[in-house]
Amino acid sequence: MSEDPKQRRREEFRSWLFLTVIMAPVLAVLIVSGYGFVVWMLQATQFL
Amino acid sequence: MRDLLRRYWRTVTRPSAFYSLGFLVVSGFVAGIIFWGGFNTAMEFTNTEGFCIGCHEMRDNVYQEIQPTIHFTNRSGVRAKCSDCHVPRDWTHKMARKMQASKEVWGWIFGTINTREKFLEKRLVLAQREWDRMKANDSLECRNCHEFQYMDFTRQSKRAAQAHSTSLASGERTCIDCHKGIAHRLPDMARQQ
Repeated sequence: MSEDPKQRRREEFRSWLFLTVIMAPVLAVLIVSGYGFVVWMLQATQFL
Repeated sequence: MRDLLRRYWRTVTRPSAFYSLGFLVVSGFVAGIIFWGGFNTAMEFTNTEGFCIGCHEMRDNVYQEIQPTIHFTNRSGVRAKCSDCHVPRDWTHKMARKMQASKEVWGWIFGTINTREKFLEKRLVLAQREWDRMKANDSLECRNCHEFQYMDFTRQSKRAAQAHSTSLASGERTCIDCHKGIAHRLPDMARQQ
């Protein structure tokens, strides 16, 4: 694979942007809401 | 597409050539703080009264009914807003409650109770769900403000003191067992099974 520094720099910047602005927040929201759902389901089984 | 993914996968799995470790760690940390702040702000926003009565189902029905009650209008000006009674305060149960609320968003989108008639029709089910929830958590939200430990029985009516010092004290009953329909009107209880 050819290594063009300019392209590598661009790819690293885009990766960084994607990870911090999109992936981490989305993942955090998914994990928290998933946790909330699990607690809800556990409560639902207790109510019955 | 596959090639693109492979290239970026390689970029994120090997050490950066252009960004220092210091920058990456600090930027991640700062982004985390900003995100958490935003997350909590958004969470708090969904706890505001303005958000709750943003839809007419809440504003025209239950919000009208709470206004003449002691929890809204009283001599000292302390009052409960929706989330004080309907959202637990500790984090885990708050998240669980917020997820349950996704069902309420569903109901809002599909207009489950978008007319007065539909609301009255569904009212017993909705109320029962909330009573079950409070029964299960031992009236947690009531107890955010009303602490049994500090109740002065001598200043309660005879009947209240009698009930509180026996059933409530022993844990045999919880607040919601007796105090139903105190902040909103009761459903048509004749239809209860």
